[in-house]
Amino acid sequence: MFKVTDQKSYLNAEEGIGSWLLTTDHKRIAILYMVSLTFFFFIGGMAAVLFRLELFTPEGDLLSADSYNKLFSLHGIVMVWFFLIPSIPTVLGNFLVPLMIGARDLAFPRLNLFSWYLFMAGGLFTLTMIVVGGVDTGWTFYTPYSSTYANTFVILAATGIFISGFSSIVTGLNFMVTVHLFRAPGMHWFRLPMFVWTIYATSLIMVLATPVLAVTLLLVATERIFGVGIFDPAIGGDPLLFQHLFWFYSHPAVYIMILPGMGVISEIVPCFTRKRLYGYRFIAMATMAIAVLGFLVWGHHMFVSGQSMYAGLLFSFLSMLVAVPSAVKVFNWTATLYKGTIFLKTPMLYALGFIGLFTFGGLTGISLATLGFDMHVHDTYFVVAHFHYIMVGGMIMAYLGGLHFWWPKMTGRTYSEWWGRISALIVFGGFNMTFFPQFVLGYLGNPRRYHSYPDEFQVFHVMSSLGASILGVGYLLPLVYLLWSLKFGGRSSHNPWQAAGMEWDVPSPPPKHNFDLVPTVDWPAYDYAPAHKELTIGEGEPEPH
Amino acid sequence: MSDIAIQTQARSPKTSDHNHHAALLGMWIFLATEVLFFGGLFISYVVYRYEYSDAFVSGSRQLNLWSGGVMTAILLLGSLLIAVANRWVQQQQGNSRRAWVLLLMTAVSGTVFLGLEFHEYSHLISDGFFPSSDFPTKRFPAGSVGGNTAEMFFVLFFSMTGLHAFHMIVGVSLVAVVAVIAFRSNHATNRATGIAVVALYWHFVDVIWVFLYPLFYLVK
Amino acid sequence: MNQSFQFFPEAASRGAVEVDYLSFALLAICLFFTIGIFAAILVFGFRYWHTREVDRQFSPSRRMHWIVELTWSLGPLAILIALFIWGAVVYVRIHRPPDNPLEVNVVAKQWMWKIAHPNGRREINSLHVPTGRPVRLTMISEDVIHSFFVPAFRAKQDVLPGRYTTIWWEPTKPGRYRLFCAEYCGTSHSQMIGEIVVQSPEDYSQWAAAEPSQTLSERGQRHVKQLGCLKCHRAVAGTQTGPSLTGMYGSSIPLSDGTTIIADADYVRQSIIEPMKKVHDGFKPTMPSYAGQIESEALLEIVAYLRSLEDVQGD
Repeated sequence: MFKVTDQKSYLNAEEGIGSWLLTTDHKRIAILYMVSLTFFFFIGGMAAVLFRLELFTPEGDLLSADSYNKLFSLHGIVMVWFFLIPSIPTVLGNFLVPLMIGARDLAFPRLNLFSWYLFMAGGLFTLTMIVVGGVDTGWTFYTPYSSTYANTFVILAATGIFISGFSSIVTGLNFMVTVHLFRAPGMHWFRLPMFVWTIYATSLIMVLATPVLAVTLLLVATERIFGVGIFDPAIGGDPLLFQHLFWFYSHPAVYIMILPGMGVISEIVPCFTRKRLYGYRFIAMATMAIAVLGFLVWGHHMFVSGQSMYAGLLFSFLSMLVAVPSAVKVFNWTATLYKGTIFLKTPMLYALGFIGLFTFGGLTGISLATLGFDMHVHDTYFVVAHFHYIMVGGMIMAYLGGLHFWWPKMTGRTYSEWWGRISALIVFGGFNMTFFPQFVLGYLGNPRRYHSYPDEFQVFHVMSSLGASILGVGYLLPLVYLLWSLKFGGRSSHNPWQAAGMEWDVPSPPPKHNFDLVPTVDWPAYDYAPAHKELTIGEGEPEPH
Repeated sequence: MSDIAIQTQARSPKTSDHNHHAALLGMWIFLATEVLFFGGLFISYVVYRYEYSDAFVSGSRQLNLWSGGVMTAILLLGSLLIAVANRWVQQQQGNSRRAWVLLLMTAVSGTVFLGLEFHEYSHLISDGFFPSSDFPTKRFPAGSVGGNTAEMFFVLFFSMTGLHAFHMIVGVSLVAVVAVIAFRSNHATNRATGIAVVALYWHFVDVIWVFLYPLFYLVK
Repeated sequence: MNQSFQFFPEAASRGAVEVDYLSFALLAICLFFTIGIFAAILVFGFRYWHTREVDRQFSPSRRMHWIVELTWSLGPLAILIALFIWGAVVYVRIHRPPDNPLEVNVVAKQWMWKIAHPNGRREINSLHVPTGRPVRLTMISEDVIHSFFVPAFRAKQDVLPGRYTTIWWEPTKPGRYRLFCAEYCGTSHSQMIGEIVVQSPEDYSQWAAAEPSQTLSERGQRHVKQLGCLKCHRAVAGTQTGPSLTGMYGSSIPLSDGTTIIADADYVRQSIIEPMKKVHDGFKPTMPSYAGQIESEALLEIVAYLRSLEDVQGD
């Protein structure tokens, strides 16, 4: 029905570097983001490799304490703000949301390009400041250390984050308007793919939480410049106010990072079980519930900070509530497998890995929300392990899964399925080896951000560092074979996975304007027919047209 | 896979209407962001106002109540003017092109507001009230920490009104731009969206001031 | 201190055992659900593998669907609320002040712990405590935020500048344990460590008496005299400019704004540093601030002195 004509794809519709840097095509902007994020990811990863090497031995012998502190700050700042937060929304979201809802582009294409420039300006600025001068406050910038005592480039690093924060806001705004007003006729809310729901919920958080971070960083900068400020105990300021404001942003930011990952999983699982997503409406509502409740739980980062006992009780209770919608999602994904027709292609391996690791990460999160337990493991490696299970085991698995799922659509090429599966397994194994020992370390009492540590912890640190090197290989492999596929990979058909969803109805790679004619939607999301066993999911063999 | 039914009619006839809605919705979402942006500061204000209410009273006495009142009035007048301009353009009443005069007056009112505000700033700074290490704590009743907390009042005053002034500068520039476009353009539709969006923004910045004025000038 | 490899940290206080029970329960829940999900994935993956001939007809009724969804929403919710309650019980107990504790003062700064015992003995980066009696730390930081963390006691508390925080526990097992700073505090954060020496009560009193010196409350009394506090805060009723210090600590103070406050360490500190903030009802707000004139240790000694007058009746 969609004949492959000789029309050009978005990739070769225009030529030259200028056509990329000035493009307003959402698909090209997605590619711009993908390249920049890969760069930031490997910068942040390099820092992790260096400090994991340092932690091989208990004594701080490889790096000085100062360099160690700067490296973990760099790792945190780059990974949180310049990889995890933008990752799925800006790459997959930009590419897919218009295709999935039947639009020709986002609502504000020029604003979309502008937000990439903001992101790059902020990112490169912060990175330069960190590399030239260094920042040693950690990504959390706790006052009064950051505002008064640190002798490093705090203001300049914060400026970059401030700028890229606006990129986040503009991106979120763009998605929200697009989803509200640019859906194809007939594409009502409960026909939207779950990915669009999660991007919408994420955008809501981006728009409402990011400004609070912006103003908080502004106040820290003011305090450093003028020597007096809101968090300065010398004039009666309260350092805890900073923590409240910071976590009011940064806890919802955790959901900015994980919700889109849940969206990706909700696309992959139905495709490789050839079945409708179980509990579609419940997952959609759970998504919105997480977005809203996520704003009410920031105080669980402060159980031992000196906030009142009653605040601790309240935030613990609310944190328990936010676990319910997450649990609902995990159960629904698992139930989707029931009576499905299961194929284990690379994206599905990542998706199943996500479900398992997210479950464990989420359960350890519930442990941390349990007050009596948190008193012990707060600010230890237990916390580090927990959020890496969510962020790396969850989010990065989902990102890689999504990338492998839509790679044929984005590039028109297929990659080596064999290498894809191998690297998915390496990532899963390396990840667990890196971060599982850290739970034990945390319970033993090893505080986080320690440059040197007591000898009795060494066994677990060595395991973790070895795991990290395996994980590093797992991340380098896709870089190699995906790049390889661009030149040597087979041509992909328009729908190599025989998946449902409007993005699969246009050619791979899609033409510049996505749809020749905007379709009228009269089918539900995940319109998978129960498949027969003969059904094969393509390795990229072009379909005859 | 079900087939895709193709809608044959093109989307274009209603595109401009669509874009108008998109622009307005976009601005509303942006204003939600702004509310939270100022929200962080308002929360800080509430925390310290509660902690150091006496310091806030003595700090507030240093501000010029009348100048603040006049500023408020001017700002509200600006809002009225841009609202009328917007109405003319949206409903295409009378000669809607004349809206540029009202827009220009709005921009002027904003400029006057900023002038008064910077005048007040310069007074406060020359009196030494700008937060710094040699803040004249002695000039305040030994509230708490020997008058230090009055400095907190001025930290908040300069941060919040300063941020508002920055928004005003952006607002005046935007109004000036749409005024010029309105003056040049002959087609009402070309300017309707721009004016509606800028008017929304202008009203928002006004509303922020309506909160700031009593919080800083009318502390009792 | 156990220097060798270990899988599970030693527990050396009464509270530590309670936390461990909670931890085991949490571990069981984590394993149950994680293994459950993994098992479900494996079983479904095997049973519904695309080449297998199995019945794949699946059309649950609306009612069935709701029952399933409600079960796996409300079931976890019940578990979560139970966990919340259990965790809260442990937490509230840690926050309730103990009876007749040994009061130890802690001043944190980059990058050391300065500790003072009630009988006046001081130590740096180590803390000697007896078994069988609650030990309460009153802590303050001179610069950034630190956190006092003893894994063997399973508890930590951030140490803030400008405000006292407290933590207490009851050591049960003599031995040497790790002390860590758990809140990132700058370059030598990982060097801000020390040891906790838990001793039998006899050993502890021997240790504490080894370096005879003035007790903390004696030192506090000296500061009170030197600063001239008693010029106003005389104990003779009716003639005071300020309220009497005797028996004030721990009592309920009526404030000028109509509220009341319990005079704890933090209230004493605030009344000296920011005297106008919470004024004792019936007295004129004339006290000057002593901010910058008293060192952190001395201020804690004054608190110790006032605490020693807690049960003394005014004359």
